[in-house]
Parts: sequence; structure tokens; C-alpha cells
Amino acid sequence: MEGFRKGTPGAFEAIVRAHQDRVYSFCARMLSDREDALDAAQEVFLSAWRNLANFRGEAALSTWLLRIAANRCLNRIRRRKSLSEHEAPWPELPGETDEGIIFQPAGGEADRPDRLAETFEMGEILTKALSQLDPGSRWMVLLSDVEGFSYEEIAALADVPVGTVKSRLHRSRMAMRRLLSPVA
Amino acid sequence: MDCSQARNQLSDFHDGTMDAAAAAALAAHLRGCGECAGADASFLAVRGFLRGLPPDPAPPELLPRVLAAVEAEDRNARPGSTHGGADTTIPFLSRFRVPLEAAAAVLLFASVYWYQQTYTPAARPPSGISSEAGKVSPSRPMAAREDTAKAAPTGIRPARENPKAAREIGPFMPKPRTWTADSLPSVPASLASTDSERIVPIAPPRPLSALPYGRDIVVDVKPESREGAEERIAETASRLGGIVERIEGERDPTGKGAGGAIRVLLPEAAAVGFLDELRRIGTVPPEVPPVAIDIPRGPQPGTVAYTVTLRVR
Repeated sequence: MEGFRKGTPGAFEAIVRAHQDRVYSFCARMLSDREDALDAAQEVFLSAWRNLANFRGEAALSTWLLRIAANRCLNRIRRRKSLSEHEAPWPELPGETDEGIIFQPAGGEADRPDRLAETFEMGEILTKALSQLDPGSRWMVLLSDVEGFSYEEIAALADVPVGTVKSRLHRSRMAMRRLLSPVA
Repeated sequence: MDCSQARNQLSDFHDGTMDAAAAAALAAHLRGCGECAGADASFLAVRGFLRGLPPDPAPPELLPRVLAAVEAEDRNARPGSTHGGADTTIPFLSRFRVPLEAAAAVLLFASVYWYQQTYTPAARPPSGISSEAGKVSPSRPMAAREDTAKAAPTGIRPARENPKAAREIGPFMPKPRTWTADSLPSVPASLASTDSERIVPIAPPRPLSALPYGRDIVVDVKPESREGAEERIAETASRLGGIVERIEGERDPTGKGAGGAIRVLLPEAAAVGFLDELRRIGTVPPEVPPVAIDIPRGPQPGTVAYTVTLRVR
């Protein structure tokens, strides 16, 4: 960062190199499309380059980049939805209703996700399960459980109360648990 | 605590945000309920997997794409913009941004000041000039009128020669003229006066009195199509079996700048053809409803009436 501020040649390239995997991963998991994710990640870094001089370092640079990424990805998803007239609604999560989680007995020992992980590539399984969450919950799960954002940070980013973030995250985690159970 | 309640509290339980009593109750339930204990284990496993999910490696083309985009934007960026780009060479001029802006402000101020000190306007608004030299508009202050009267017959006395008048009239009063208003060229007010011509206001055409039947239509015509527009409308009405009740307008000597109005009565069947002809003469505003839907009734059954007002645009 300091190098960038001082105009050190190659400083920005070093920043991109250091953060491109996290930013691209986040975009890819949000958008479920490689080209879209590439475009979004490029936008994130371009936006960062435009505003990096104003970055005050109150949060970690990676946190700041992921915030930009979340906004960009949600914008892209909104644009997709508005462009696609016939897009099917996001599938209802298993066991989830407006009232909350419906109790379902857990599956057998073989259905446990940690057991499934032994036979499947966990990254692929998780990515597939994540892609089935609605985008409004997906980015919260990604930021909270994958990237380690606090509930307060997510609430500020989403402009919703912390309680809303917590309840949405809990519903999404329980949905992920159910999504992962029947994979086998 | 039932199983549903227990499962709805798992996040809070593992986040450590539950109060001690509720956490103890949930822990007790988990100890005694195998299904909920299994759900809790899989819930924890999911969170653990998510936390340990490694980032996918970015495709190799991402970095070159980002750098190319940054370079392109940097090339196009204006000097002194607030863009980042600190890893590229700072544009030479942007180093002098503040001094240049300050210099520009000083120069602008000096220019305005100099202009105020030295400017002598080239023209005086004609409202202050009567046909006789030396007369001023009654709206001017009495002192200025007296001073000006002393300066006759050479014309309006320059403000600079009369400090009192200059104070009252202001620094932007016109330069003295030796000609009279009659010597100014005249031009219709609808045209821009760019060369000190005397502006002669055009009396707007008197609108035809409203009738309890028919409809008023405004037709925008171009200045070059204005001349003879009434005749074309009248001719169309006659050709379609109608009659021209009244024509107003053509008050502009050039025939190009004035509006006009014409009232026609037509057989109902001729309304469509008549409106088509109007659209050839000019532009009929879209608010005019389609005749197929709404035929303005004329004074007798089976007739329609239109009062067409021409507007030069």
C-alpha cells in the first residue's frame, strides 16, 4: 500500500497478485460463471485502483476489496435478473419457508457432510451448494463463513440490522447442511 | 426445549451469543437428543468446511487484463484527476494543478476588473431611445434625464462624462450614439437581433373566439413553410367539401414569422383527409387525439369543425 501511495512502479501489480485469488474466488462463487467472475474481478481491481489513493486503511485491504466485490457481484446478479425475463425464481431452499426452518430429522451417519467429504471434492460440493442459495444470502455466507467478516461488518455492508444478518446466516447454514446431506 | 427450537439456536450457540441459561438448556438438549446432536455435528461440519474453503486460483489472464485496463484508463485520465494510479508516473501538469488553478482564478478576476474599468458597451437597449435625439425613457431617473437634456442635440450624453448619471445608471450603460432610433434597421422581434437593429415587436394574431363546437388544433410550421399556409388549409378544406369560416393572421410583413388561425367546417368523412393535409403542412402535436376515436362535432350533425392555429417554430 505504501509503495502504491508513493508511486512505486509495480506496487499496484503486487496488490493484484496478492489478492486476485480471494477476489476471483469470491466472484466465481457468487456468480457461478467463469467469464462473469473474471469481468467482475477486473472491475473490482479497476475500482480499487481508482480509489486506492483514498483508502484510509481503516479495514484490511482484503476486506475492502471483498466489499467492492460483493457490491459488484450483486449488481451483476441484479442486472442478470432484469435482463432475463424468463428466469426461473431462485429455488426454495430445502426445509426453508417464510416461517423459518422446518424441522427435519437428520439423515443417517453416511449422510453427514464430513463423511461425504471423504468421497467428494469438498470444494466442488460446497460451491455447488452455495450456488443454490439465493444471492442475497450467498454473499453473506461467503463473507461470514468463508472470509471471516463479522456480523456487524456484513450488517453495515447490507444496511440491515445485525439481527437480520444473523437470522439469514443461520437459515442459510441450515440450508447448506440440508443441501449437502443428499448429495450422495 | 423442543428440537425445532434447539436447531434454530445452533448459530447463536456456537457464536457464543446466547445467555448462559439458554446455552445450558440447549447443551442439555443436545446431550439428550441424538438427532439434534447429529444436526449440530453436521452444522458444525458445514461451518468448518466453509471456513476452510481455499480460494480458487485466479485464471492467469486476470492480472494482464487488470493491468491493461488500468493502463488504458491511466492514459485517458485527465491530469490532476483523483484516480489512483500512483504506481504510474504522475502526469507532469498535475504537479502544478493547484498553482495553475490559482493563477487562472487571479487572471479571471483581473480580467473582469479590467473589463469593468474599460468596457464601453456597443449598443443601448432601444427602449431608452425615442425618435428624437437626446430624449430618454421616462423610466430613467430624473437627474439622468436632466443631465441628458443638457447634452442635446448630440445625442445621449456618455455616462463617463457625467459622473452623477454614471453612478445612477451603472457602469454598463451604453456608449453614446449620434444616430437616432429611426436610423436603426428594423427587424421582426421573432428574429434574433445581433447587430443593434431596432426591435419591432410583432403583435400576436388575435385568437379566434372560442366556439361551443369543434376543436382547436395547433400546427407548428417552419418559417420557410409559413407563407401561404392558411391558403393551403383553406384550399384543402374546400377541396374536401368544407367551408372556411374565418381566417386570422399574417400580421408579419415578411409573412414568415407570424402565427395565424383559420376555422373550417367539414363533412365528418373529410376529417381524416384534412388532418393528413395538416400534417403535411406542419407538425400536429401528439396530444391531438386520433380522429378515428374522437371527431369534434361541428355545428350540424355530420360535420366537424377545426380551428387551426399556426405557430412558427
